[in-house]
Amino acid sequence: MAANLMPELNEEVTPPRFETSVQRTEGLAEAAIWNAGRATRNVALRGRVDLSRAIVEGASLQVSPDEPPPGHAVILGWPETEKQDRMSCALQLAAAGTLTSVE
Amino acid sequence: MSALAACYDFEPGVSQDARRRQVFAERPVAAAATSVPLTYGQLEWDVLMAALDASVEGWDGYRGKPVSQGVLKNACSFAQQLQRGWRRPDVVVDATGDIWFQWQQDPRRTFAVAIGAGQMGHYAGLFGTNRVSGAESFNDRLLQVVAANLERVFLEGAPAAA
Repeated sequence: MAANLMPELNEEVTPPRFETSVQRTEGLAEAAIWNAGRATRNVALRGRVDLSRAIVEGASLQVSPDEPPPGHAVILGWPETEKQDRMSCALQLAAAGTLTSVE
Repeated sequence: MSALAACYDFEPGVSQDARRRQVFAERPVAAAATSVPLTYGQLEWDVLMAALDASVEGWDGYRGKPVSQGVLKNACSFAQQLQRGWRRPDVVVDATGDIWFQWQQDPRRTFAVAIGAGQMGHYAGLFGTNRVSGAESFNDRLLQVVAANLERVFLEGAPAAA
């Protein structure tokens, strides 16, 4: 699960930044959450990890809106120099998050 | 074709379907991941399957980088070095195309090594509120780090290890 939370290097912004794509789910029913994920990812989903803003900030990261699509956001603030530091953050997120397998 | 040979048999431009036809049609039956001792070949198979699932650009439906030949070769080599009798790790690909080997007792007692195309293995561990992270070159020292941190994952109250 932690590996799936690792950031990608977005080189389409200036300066390039490490970011993890997430979807805001406040107020959404379970089915709507999965539909939003499928619309964003366009691949067969295996599961999702639910994270609160407090969990993200607890790992010294930040959530920033990144629309479109509606509700899309990114986790920013990943350590830039060492991969193992990003891994450590990802483990913290995975430990505090809630894993749900696809229905 | 054995799973081990298939690790080194990828060719650029070969479709994913064609790659799948190069390996055995059925995966070995897998028991519970955290309790089955490693068997030579099983872990290389896990690496191969993970790489196949992440073999194209955007494999994750976003910007996921595919597993390169260099990463696959390094990951297979690392898998071969892991000792028989060790717990079997989960093998997962991250968004940069690196292959992770992760051992986990529970979400707060876990250790992972990420293998890329370079000469270093990057690792991180979470043991309750304690954390460890670093990088070692592919030699006995990396395996020593893995061994020490697996003790922390699976043995309660194990002493701190670098």
